[in-house]
Amino acid sequence: MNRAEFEKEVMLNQEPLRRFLLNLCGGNASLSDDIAQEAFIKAYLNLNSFSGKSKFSTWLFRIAYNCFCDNKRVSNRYSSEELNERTHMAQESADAKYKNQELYMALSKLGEKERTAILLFYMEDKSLKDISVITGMPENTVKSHLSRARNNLSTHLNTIGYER
Amino acid sequence: MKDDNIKMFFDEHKQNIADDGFSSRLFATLDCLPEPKPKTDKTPFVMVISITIGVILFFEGLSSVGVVFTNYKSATPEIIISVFFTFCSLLALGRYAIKDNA
Repeated sequence: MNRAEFEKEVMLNQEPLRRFLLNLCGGNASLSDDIAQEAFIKAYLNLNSFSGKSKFSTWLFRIAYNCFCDNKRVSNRYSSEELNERTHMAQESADAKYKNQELYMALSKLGEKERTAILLFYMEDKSLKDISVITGMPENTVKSHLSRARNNLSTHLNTIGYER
Repeated sequence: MKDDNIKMFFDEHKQNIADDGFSSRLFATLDCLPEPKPKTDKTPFVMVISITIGVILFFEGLSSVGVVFTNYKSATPEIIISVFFTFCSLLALGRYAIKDNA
């Protein structure tokens, strides 16, 4: 893959990747963009190691998730309790702000692995196999994280009266 | 039902993330980085080395086995065990290669 092809992939994948990281970081847009930038740079520098066994987007998400984990390990800043306070998205309407708050609040009820699995599955429409590649967890573990996340989220959504 | 509700929740809360100069900043950074080196295919080199070693070992082994069979009375239990385990490891390697190719 050359530079031009990589740029095409960046244009295709930057939105889902940044959204995934933004939600993982509990709405901290500047931090999630920093991690996304780091992930894209790492991907570019290691383009040769992309074997094509998985989709490029899956490979990219894996790098981004590893960057997020490294960042978290170093700073350990995004505990569930802090998520509610870390919602500073710039330039968004009141409605979008409310919706985002609702989303981050729901996500804060989940553990980190559950949050990752449910975001990838429902928000980014990734398959179980892709989630397994991205997170490095076996498929059965992903399934059990998803199941636990569904139960926790369902309870939370019932509490806030979300029913469609 | 529970699954539908959760799916609906995430569909409703899916954000649209504007580029806001993210790509151009990234490309500007990439301009300052060295071009990634093209991947060099080392397969032919590894194959030549492996085949050479394989051929040498094969003929060495053949002559050793020949010696063992001509003087079969001198075959000690150690030799028999080592021959047995060599066959086992060859079979295991073969199985691994088949599995890996699949």
